[in-house]
Amino acid sequence: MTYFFNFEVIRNNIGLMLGGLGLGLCIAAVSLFFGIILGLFAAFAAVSSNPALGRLSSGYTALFRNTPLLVLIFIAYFGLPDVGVIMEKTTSFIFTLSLYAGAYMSDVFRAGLQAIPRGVIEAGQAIGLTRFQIRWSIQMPIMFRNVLPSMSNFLISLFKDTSLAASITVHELTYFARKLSVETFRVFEAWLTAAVLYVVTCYLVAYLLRKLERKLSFG
Amino acid sequence: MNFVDSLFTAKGALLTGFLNTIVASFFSIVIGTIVGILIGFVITYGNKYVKMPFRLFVDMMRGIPGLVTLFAVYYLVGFLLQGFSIRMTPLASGIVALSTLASANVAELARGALQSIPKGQIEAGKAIGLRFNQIFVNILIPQAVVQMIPPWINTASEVVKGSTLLALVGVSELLLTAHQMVATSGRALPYYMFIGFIFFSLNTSIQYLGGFLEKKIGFQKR
Repeated sequence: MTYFFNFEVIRNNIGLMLGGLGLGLCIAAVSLFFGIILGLFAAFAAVSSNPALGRLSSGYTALFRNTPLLVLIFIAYFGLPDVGVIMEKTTSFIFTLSLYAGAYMSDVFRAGLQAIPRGVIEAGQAIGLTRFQIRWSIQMPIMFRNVLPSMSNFLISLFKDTSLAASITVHELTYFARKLSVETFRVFEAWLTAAVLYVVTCYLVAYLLRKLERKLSFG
Repeated sequence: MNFVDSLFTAKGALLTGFLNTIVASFFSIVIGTIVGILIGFVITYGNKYVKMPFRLFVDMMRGIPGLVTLFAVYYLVGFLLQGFSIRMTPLASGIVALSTLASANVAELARGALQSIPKGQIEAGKAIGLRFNQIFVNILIPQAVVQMIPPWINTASEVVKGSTLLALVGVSELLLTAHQMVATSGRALPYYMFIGFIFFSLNTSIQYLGGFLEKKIGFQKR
C-alpha cells in the first residue's frame, strides 16, 4: 500500500491548529494561577495545627488526585447543570482543571512548607512578627523558591492535560487534529502535526521555565 | 426510575464496563512495564547509536498528551486496516496506546533507578570476579526494583486513570457506560459521581497496595 503525504490540508488549517495550541497554553496558565491560590490555602490548612482543617485538605487532594481528570470534566460539564450550575464549556474546563491543579499544587506546597526549618519560623516569632507576616514574608518566599522546578513540571503536564478539553469540544489543538483527520482523511498528517506541535511546545516551555528558574533562584 | 434502581437495571452493562476498564488497565500496565524495562536497559547500557532511537521515543512520548497518542493510534490503525478484512477493536487500540505511554514512563523510571546505583558497586563486583550478568542479577536488579516500586505504583494509577480516555474512542468501559446511562435517564450528576467514586476507590486501593509493597520490600533498603 502506498501513501502519499499531502500537507495541503494542514497548511490551510495551520492557523486554526496554532490558535488551538495557544488556547491550550492559556487554559493551562490560567488554571495554574487558580490552582496556585487554591493550593496555597490547602497547603497551609494541611500544615496547620487544626486537625479538622488538615483532614479537609487531605480529603480534597486525595479526591482530586485519585479520580480521573476526564471523569471530573464530565461531572463539571454534564453533571453540574443538574443542580443548576451551568457553565460555558471553556469556563467549565478551566474550573475543573483549576481544582485539579489545586490538589496537586497543595501537595507540592505542603512538602515545600514542611521542608522549611522550624528555626526560621521561630526566628520570625522571636522578632514579633504576626502569624500572617510569617506566612507571607518568610514561609512563602522560601517555599516558592524550593518548589519552582516542580511547578514548572506541573505546568507542562497541565498543558498536556488541556488536550482533554477536546472531549467537550473546546476548540483546542486536539479538537482540530481530530476534526481534520476525520473530515479530510489526512490521518498521518493531522496527528503528526499535532504531535510535533505538542512536543515542540512542551520542550520550548520547559526550556524557558528553566531559564526563569535560574534567574529567580539567584535573585 | 430512581438512581439506585437504574443502577440495578444496568448492572450487566456496568459489570462489562468495569471489566473493560480492568482489562485495559491490567494489560497496559503489564505490557508497558515489560517493554518499558527493556527500553530502560537499552537507554542505560546501550551504546550511543543503539540508544538514540529509544531515547527519542521516550522523549517524544513524554511530550505528547495521552489523548493525542490514543487518537493517533486509533485513527491510524483504522486507516491502515481499511482495505483488509482484519479488524482491530477500539479496546486493542486503547491498550496499544496506553501501554506505549506506560512504557515510556517506566523506561525513565528504570533508567533513573539503574543509574542511581553508585558505580563503585559495579566495580566492586568486577573486583571480586563477577561476570556482568552476575553483577546485573545480584547487585543491580534487587536495588533497582526496590527504588522503582513507589514511582511505578504511581504510573499504574496513572494508567488506571488514563483508561477513561478509551471512552472517547468508543470502548464501553466504565465512563462510556455511565455516559450511555446518562443519555437514557436524562440526569448526569449521580452517574458520573458514581463512576468517579469507583475510580477513586480503585486508585486508593492501588496506593494502599503500593504502601504495603514498599514496606514488605523496603527492608532491603538497610
